[in-house]
Order: sequence, then structure tokens, then C-alpha cells
Amino acid sequence: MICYHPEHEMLLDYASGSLEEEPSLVVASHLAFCDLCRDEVRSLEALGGTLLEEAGDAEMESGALDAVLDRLEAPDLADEDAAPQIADPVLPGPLVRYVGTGLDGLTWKRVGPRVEEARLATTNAKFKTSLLRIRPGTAIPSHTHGGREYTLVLKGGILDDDRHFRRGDLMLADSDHEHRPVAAEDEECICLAVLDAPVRFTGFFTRLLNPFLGGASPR
Amino acid sequence: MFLNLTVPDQAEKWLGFTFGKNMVPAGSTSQSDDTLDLDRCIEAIADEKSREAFARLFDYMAPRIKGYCLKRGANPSEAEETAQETMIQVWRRAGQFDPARASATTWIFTIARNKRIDLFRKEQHPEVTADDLIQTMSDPVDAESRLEHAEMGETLADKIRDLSPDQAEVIHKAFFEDKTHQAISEELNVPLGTVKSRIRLALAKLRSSMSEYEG
Repeated sequence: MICYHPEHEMLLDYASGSLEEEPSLVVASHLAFCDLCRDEVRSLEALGGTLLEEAGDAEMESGALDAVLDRLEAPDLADEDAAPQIADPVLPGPLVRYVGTGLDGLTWKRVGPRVEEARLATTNAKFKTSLLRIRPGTAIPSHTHGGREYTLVLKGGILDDDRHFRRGDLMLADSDHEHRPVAAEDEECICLAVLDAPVRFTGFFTRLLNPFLGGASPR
Repeated sequence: MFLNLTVPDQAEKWLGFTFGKNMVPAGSTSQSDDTLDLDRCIEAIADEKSREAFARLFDYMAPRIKGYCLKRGANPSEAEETAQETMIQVWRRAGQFDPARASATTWIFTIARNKRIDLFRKEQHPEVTADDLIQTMSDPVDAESRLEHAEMGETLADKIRDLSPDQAEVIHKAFFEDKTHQAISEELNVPLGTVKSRIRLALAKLRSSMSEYEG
């Protein structure tokens, strides 16, 4: 039973295609667990279909149809690149396809005495996207920052005040919310964390001045 | 031929208002009683590789996809490219179209959305597929849900017209301009909370029309 969902606005941004890739990965992964949000996204996509039909015609260039007909039998390069689907007991399908591997293929790096991190390569540098593996009962590294953070529980649980986030639940945090989440006691916790970190320095040299960029508080 | 509809017996009584609404005029050169069933076109592409069905679908959908991209701020050549690439994808993926899951325009919308993101933001749009579902729900593929989706699109179109100007504005900005609700708030110079409440009210209104058919 999923108890903590993305906000309606986030689902709207996902369905309309306005949401960036990294938070979209969080939404798609949540959808693998959540009937309710999947239905909502389907409805919002139906809204998109209706709006598309009513968008109004723009005249296609002359010869467009012939040009397209000529290309129909060309090989689909995306198909050739597509990795075979791997079933993973922890990672949902959208995440497996995105990362191109299951849990076993990830490279983990120790970031604390009881916390390991596997950074994911994504498109937008302003997001820090990683999988965290946290031993039972361990406090999750400090999340005070200037942006938003999306944490999707994939295994185990996270306790934050009186809330208990389980597999499939999404924990949202922003800079206004001082919180001290702790992994639940019964088993290790694995979660997908996307941090929308405000980028202070973007030039090559200035970036060297900010070794913690994309990590904890750049404030 | 794909235009010769065979309607399941039990669905016949719906013909007048349901199948009828999912059909659209097949272009200005056609006879007035000649209608284009988008679902049938996609099925004919999937089953028979019908280039004729594809051409009809292209004539109807490509200009709309282009119009959608222009509204989203693409320049004419980007919009043209997205429309053409989307239609090629429709040809390739036709076998994956499932009328019980989504109407034809909804399915094409998702392809166009992803193409636009791919071509012009150089990003992916992570998606969930039916195989990914971890708690599976029964999702019967039957004529009834097919009717439901066809009808839902029509009801939605009516409901969109009923939204207040404020509500319609945020929904249009979300779908037609590449703007998150955060960016909409900055552009309209209204607090984020106001944008959120407009979106919520609009979605609640739209949802009420959908739930009538989703039970």
C-alpha cells in the first residue's frame, strides 16, 4: 500500500513533458508501484491527447509525407541500442532501463560509516542523482540544502518524525523543512535520491572552488 | 480495407455517440460521409503495414503535432522535424498501441512529447510500461474500456472549455509551454501556492468528468 505520492503538480509536469529528466525518473519509478498515480498520469496524458487534437493545424512542408514514407523502412537505431530488459528484485523497471543494470551492476562508494552511494550519470548537472544504501537504524546524511530533494524508497523503510516511508513511497523535502530521516531498524534501506541542488558556480575554474557542489549545502 | 468497420455486436448500440466521436473527417478532399477512425489506422499499420492508412493518419495528425510544437515555442523547422519523427515512431511502434489503455490521440501525444524532449532538450522521458507494474492490477482489455477512453476524450474536451480562464491558463502553460508549475508562477508573477491551487482546482474539475467513466 503506497502512502506517500508525488504532488499532483509534479504528475502534471511529468505527463505534459515539462518535468526534467531526473525528477521524471523518480516519478516513473514511483509509477511502477502505484496504481493511483498511474491512473492519474494516464488521465493527464488523455488530457494531453485532447489538447493535441485541439492544438490547431500547422501546415506541413510540401513533400513531408513523401519524405516520411521514404524513411519508414529504415532501421530503428534506438531499437538496436536498447538494452535487454533485466528483472531486478529491488529496482523498478524504469530505473533498470535508465541505469542499464540491476542492483548488482552498480558501483558503490562509501560515503559514511554505514552509508554507501552509487552515483547515476544523468543529463542535467544541476541534479545530483544517486542510489543510497543505508544500514538499518542509520541516520540518512544531512539534507539541508537550497533546493528540493526527492527520495523514493526501494527497499526497507525511512522514518521521519511520525511518518514511515516504505517501498514505493516518495519522501519530498525542501530547504524550508529541517528533517532528520532515519533508516528503519528491520533491514537495510535502499533509495533513489534526486537532489535539485542550486548551482552556484558553473565555470570550470570557479567549480574548483566549490568542491561540495552537488553535495551537501553550498550555502 | 481498414475503413470498413466491423463493430462488435454488443457495441452496436454505442455506435451513434461513441465510435462516432472517435472518428474524424478524413480531410477536405474526402466525401462528407467518409470518416477516419484513428484506432483502425494504427491497427492497419501494425497488422498490414498499410502505407495508405499511414498516409491518412499523417494527414490528420502531423499538422496537429506541428501546431502543438509551435505552441510550445519550437521554431517551424523544429516543429516540422518533431512531427515527421513522431509519425515515423508511430509507424514503428504501431504494434504496441493498445486501445484499451489509451486513445489514439493520447498515445500519439505521448510519442510527440517524448520526441520533442529527445530532440530539443536532449533528455529522456523515463516511462513505466505494463511489464513494470510491481503490484499488478487487473486491467481487462475489453470493448468497454475501449469505449470508455474514446468517450473520455470527448468529455474532457468539454470540461476544458468549462475551466475558468485562470485554470485553463495554467493547464495550457503546462502542456504547451515548456514550463513547470514553478516557472509558471514566476512568469505570471503569482505565488507558487496560487498556481498550485489553480492546478488542483482544474484537475479536480477534469477528474470529476473522468471518474464518471472510470467508476
